[in-house]
Amino acid sequence: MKIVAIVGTNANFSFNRLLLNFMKSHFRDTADVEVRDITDIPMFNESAPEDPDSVKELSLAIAGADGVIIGCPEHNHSVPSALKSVLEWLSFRTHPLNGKPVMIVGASHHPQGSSRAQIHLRQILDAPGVGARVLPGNEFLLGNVKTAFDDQSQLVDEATIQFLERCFADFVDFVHSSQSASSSMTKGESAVVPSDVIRWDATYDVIVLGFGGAGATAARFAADDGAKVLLVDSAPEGYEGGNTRVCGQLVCSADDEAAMREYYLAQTAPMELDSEIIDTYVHGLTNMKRYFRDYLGVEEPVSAKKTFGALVGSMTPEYPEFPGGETVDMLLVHEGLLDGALWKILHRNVVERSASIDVWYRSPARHLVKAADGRTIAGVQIEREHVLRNIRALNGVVLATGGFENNKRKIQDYIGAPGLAPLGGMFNTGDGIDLAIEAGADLWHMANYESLGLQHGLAFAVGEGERAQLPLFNLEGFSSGSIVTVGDDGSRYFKEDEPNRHGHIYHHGVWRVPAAQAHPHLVFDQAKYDELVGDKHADVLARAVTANSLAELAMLIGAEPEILAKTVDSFNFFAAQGVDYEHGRDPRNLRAFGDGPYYAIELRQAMLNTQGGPRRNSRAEILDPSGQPIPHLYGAGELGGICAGQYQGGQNIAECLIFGKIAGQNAATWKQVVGHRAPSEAI
Amino acid sequence: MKLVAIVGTNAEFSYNRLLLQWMRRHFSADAEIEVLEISSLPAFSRDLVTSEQDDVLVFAGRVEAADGVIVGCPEYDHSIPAALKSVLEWLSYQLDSLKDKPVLIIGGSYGPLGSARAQLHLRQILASPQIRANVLPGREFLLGHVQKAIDDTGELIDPSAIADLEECFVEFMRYVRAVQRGFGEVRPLSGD
Repeated sequence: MKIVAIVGTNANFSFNRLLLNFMKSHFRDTADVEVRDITDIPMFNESAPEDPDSVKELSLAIAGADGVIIGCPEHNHSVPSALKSVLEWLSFRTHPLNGKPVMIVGASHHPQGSSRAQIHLRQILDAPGVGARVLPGNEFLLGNVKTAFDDQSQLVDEATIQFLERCFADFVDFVHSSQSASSSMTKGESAVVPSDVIRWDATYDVIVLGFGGAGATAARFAADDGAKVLLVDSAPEGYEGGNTRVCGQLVCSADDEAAMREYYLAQTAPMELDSEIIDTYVHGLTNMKRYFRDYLGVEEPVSAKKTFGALVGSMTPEYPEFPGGETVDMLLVHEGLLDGALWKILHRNVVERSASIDVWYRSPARHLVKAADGRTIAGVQIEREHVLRNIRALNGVVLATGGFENNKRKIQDYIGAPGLAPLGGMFNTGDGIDLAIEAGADLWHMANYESLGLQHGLAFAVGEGERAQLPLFNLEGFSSGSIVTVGDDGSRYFKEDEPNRHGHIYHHGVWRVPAAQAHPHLVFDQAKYDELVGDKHADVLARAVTANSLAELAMLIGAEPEILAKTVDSFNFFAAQGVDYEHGRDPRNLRAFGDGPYYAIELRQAMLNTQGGPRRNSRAEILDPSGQPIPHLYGAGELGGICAGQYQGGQNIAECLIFGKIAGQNAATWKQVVGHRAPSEAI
Repeated sequence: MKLVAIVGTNAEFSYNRLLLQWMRRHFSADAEIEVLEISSLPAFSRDLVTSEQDDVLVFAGRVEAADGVIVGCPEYDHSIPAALKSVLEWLSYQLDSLKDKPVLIIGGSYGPLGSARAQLHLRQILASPQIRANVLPGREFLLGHVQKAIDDTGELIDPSAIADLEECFVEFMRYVRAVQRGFGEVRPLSGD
């Protein structure tokens, strides 16, 4: 980008000249700024027979530039006569400023920083005949200029430099948009809003979408790197937190990096992941204790393996048969489960940075805004109080909106399942996937999701849009004796007493979540009913429907009578034989059904969290289908999580912490106008 | 009453010059008006020493000796001409020629607006602390369509414009006398 910068005075020494020279060197990677003096331009005179050569030369230089910066001193509350003279020449016979993007900067000895001259200059530049396009909404007023520069003519105040950078970034965008507007750009049908047709309502360095574990982490680390951050969530205040708020608060960790890597590869197999992202993640897991100390203020993280052995034993490790599993542990911030204690710390770390982080609740992101290059993410359209706001993000946007657990259509499309009963936060509707698609992102791990609950991962049925309860009590009672779980047609579809691995059950060598049924049911006889009455499950029994015959019961639960009858016949045969030939249920858990009455309780496949979303790399950059990062777009958390296969408990929340940090820090990194690759960063 | 009238442009032909010359003739019974040209003055530069600029010093001396100043102000690009601004910079940089000086702003333009925007800028400039002139408040003389209002011989022929300008001028003379009488003693602020 070619910029002509006009020193607005004919004085030998000028702080405005210093300022323009500073801009020339400071922004040299973005623009070729040519600083031009006006000392050789004579006083304008309309009676002169032709333009002086110095005017002709300046006029040509401006005509060939993409934009003009004017360094404007103030004389007597207005522009210097020498500058005014130049503008009169440039609006007399030639009109090189007509339609030209112009940025005004100015310095003065007083605190006002040539503010009044700049106002006059704006009016002058707006006059017909001049017709410049002056950058709106920006003023750079450098007051008290005598102390503003050091003896190397460098601006000394960091905040001033940052502000100048913002103004200049606005100007570069303004130049781009002026160019694309004047070259009759055709706009595609994409819902992504091009930045040249919108007005910005506010500007931040970083916008983080989603105030859950990943978003809170990204916002906090972006703020710590000096960014001004906007953090938004679609939930009302008090309901933010996504799945992090309601999860077990267990964070996967490891002692041995090599063992953890081996275990993680076994988890992922037979899928493949790029080794860089695995290394980054495994390194993060291995350093989790240090992360707790350094960033969460937890000096002594509690080892779940040591403290809650039996309760979480089936998860440390979740896949004990995999190599390296002995290194797996889960950390807690204190001796408590499912109590939101980790979330409170993550939340507090945001609140404590309120000087740098603005939080908007009930403010769903609707669209991403692309810069004039058609690729770089320049900002976000956010709905706030029923108004769409265009918020600019100078350095990066982090997608941390969580999964699509509450989006029936997306579950159908990506998982191929009917509506599942959500266990987590109710505001995860997969908005980030729509945004990522708009931005041109590739998607990954869409079909993978985790579950939890009764048997392999079931909950008692709830209505659509209702959150299911996580049944944690005496689950064995529902998996032993004269009770079976049947799918939509009335047949058994999995081994009821299979150990729970986040919904995945053993399936010919891998662990998979079985195909979800629309209306699975527990079916049991009077003996089982009486057993369940005996303890704390009486309230569950209130949900039961009953019939004297299996055929009648099948009618009540929408199953095929013949199939349900055959299912119970077979089950009774297996019980008599002491072998479950169909699913391999433990013989000790088999007991033949008695005569009627029979009972059924409706279940739903429980949805803990999805893993799918935009593909990202080890720098938390979101990638397009060709594997190239989409400039200024980052992702963290379970939206596009890296769990491709078999899930180890605590790994999603670990991912929020690890990649939230990387995303926040890389998003905060100062960018030239078109983003370049951010450095790889691990904890 | 002795007044100077500054032609606010260095152009060879200027209706504002004609207007000031007409005023010199029309009000000769009430005031002695000397029309001052600015085209021979150098462009203001902070790096030139004012005391070495003979033309500037002569010009400044006439302004300082006058009871009041009339500025005929054209409009270039919605503001005052650079040539006029240059003069004001000379008179206020190392000189104080316009300090407290009563000033009447008039102006003409080809369009209907009569240099209204330039006059507004000129008021702000004259009010800056470096200049501190006393500009006649509450009166504006904005002569639109100058080529019709002034004939080939330089006569102002629009009767309503003449009436307006006469009223302005009378008001200005009262203002000059009022300024000359002063604003009274300036008492220091009481300590408590």
